[in-house]
Amino acid sequence: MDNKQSGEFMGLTKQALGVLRVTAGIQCLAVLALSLLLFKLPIRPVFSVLMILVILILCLVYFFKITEFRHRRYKYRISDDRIDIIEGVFFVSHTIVPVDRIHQVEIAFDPIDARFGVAKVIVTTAGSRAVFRFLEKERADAVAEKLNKMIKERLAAAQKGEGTGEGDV
Amino acid sequence: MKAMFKEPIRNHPSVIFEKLAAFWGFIAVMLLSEGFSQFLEGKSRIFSVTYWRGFFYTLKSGDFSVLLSGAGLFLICVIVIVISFYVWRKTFFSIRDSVLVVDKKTLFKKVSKLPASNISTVNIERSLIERLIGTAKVKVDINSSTTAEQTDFTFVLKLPLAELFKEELIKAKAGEENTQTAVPLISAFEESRADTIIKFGFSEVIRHQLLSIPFAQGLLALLTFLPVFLEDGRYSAGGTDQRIFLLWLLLIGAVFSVVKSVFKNWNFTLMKDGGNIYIKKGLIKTSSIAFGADKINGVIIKQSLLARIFGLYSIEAAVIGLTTQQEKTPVLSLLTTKSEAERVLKLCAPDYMTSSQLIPASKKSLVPYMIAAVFSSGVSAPLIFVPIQKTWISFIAIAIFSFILAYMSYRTKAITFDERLVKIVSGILLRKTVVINFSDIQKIDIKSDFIVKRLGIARAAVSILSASAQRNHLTGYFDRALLDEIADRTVKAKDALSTVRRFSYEK
Repeated sequence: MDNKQSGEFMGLTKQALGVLRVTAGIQCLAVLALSLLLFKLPIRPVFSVLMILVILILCLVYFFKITEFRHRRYKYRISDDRIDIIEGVFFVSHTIVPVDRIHQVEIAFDPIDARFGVAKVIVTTAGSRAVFRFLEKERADAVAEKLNKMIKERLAAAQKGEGTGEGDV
Repeated sequence: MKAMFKEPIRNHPSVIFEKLAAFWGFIAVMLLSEGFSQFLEGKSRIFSVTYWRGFFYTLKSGDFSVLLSGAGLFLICVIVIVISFYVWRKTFFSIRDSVLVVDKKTLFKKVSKLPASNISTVNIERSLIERLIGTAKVKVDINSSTTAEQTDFTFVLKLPLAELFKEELIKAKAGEENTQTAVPLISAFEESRADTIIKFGFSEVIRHQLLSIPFAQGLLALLTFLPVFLEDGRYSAGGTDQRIFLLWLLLIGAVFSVVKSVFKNWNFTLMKDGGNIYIKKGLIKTSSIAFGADKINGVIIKQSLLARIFGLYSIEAAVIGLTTQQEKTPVLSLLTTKSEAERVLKLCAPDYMTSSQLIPASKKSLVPYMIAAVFSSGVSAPLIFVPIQKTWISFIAIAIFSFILAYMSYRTKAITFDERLVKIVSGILLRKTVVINFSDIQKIDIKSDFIVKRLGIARAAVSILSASAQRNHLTGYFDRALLDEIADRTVKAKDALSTVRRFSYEK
């Protein structure tokens, strides 16, 4: 691994865990509400109760353990020439975006994010996008600012005709 | 005449009626469901005052079902025409100081200003109706991923005026100082002096479509047809009739598809002049596509199952800013021999030729594929317990099919890369070889799970700037180190697109 990649991977804060828990809670409630439909099926009520119990246990595991694991697993890194985002529990995705392909950076947040003081930083390239999730607002600002600065430096270098190759930033 | 584009002009009035085209389809369906006699009966009454009084009274009472009556459709038709007329009358466009200005003075006022330097392609398209009335569509596309799925601006003009308008846009673009990032537009003059690279005759166009019939469609036809031949008295006559009806539907579908393709690819001609590529084709609806060879973002070589038997290849190109409505990725060559395909590639996209040795998927990738096969077989396992004779045969068939599919998924995946290019091979029935320049890759997603992570393998989704059909390319399972190497080379490669206009973020 070369020097440019050697920046530390960053994890998420406790506020992010709050967002994950609230989101998981809403999802679990929706699933449990839907599972009540099992009583409408032409099966013995005892089976319906048993199935709902299993769903309840899975929801509890999801709410307490999976969200925590997801929180712990989420990592991101911004190097001079690339951004890396690692996320997922069972299916892990490692997203790599070269910094010089980025052409737009946005900060966005939904009501749950706002309640916990976190935000998303959406990075758009000419043909794709990547999202830094659950960043506390100050950190989101800092990430957007850093990317913006890197982009502007590369833009200035390009306008001077110096190129944007390795080591330009 | 050329100066006239400095003054705002309108589209040809035929656009008013063109807007009705989709609506006619709806009317046709309604007519079929309601019956012609009822419609005609309604038509004879719609000229009486009492009828309309009753019509609006019913509408006022909240019963909107009258809108579906013949008179209702007539009323909607009139409204559509009035709105289309209003929009046509209030929409103007012009070319001022190398800027294309589209001014909509309708209820929702909108002025779009497009500097000519931002224009990617200008194409002229003519449908059968447009050819009859002597008009043409001028389609203007810009370099943007957000509007990659649609044409950005469409204008309808009389053919000579449309050609002049295209020429004016080309000149406006050429006059712009900052043209380093844009596709050079192609004028009719350049097109006339272009060299023909490959041309397909009637029989080759038919061969292309016949060998491109999807395998699933053929298999379905076979499965439908087979029991008719194997009829042993167990099937009822009704069942056989249904199968024959289905077979007819499939056959008609296949014939229609072949005929449509023959019309679409009629006289397919690929031409090149310097750095510009031209494609001309079509019988009823002719299309003429032009783009700069430097705007090719990737090359896709396709081989259907039948084409592989005959050793034929077709070539598509992922091109930025080219969004003709029928074709998101222009076909450079219909099915042709390997040597011809190589010649086309050498002449049109030499940068995408690589002779690197293909690396087959890791043998470890059999594990996730086999797990998926076990899972899909497991899902069909309850068939064993269904109290109907011989349903277990279906379970065995599904299981065998799943395992063959798993093995083929492993066998058909390959990858290779050199200093500039990465080549991804995939597809069991339709073999697809995608060649991409590292500098055109926008994002890489390396995907793994707890099983493949232990095996030290992963697969990657590579995103490039293209229409959605060719935007993401998923590799098979390969050693993680290999995919990391591809990611590193992507990061190190200099961005192929402009570094000037793309950076639009202002905090």
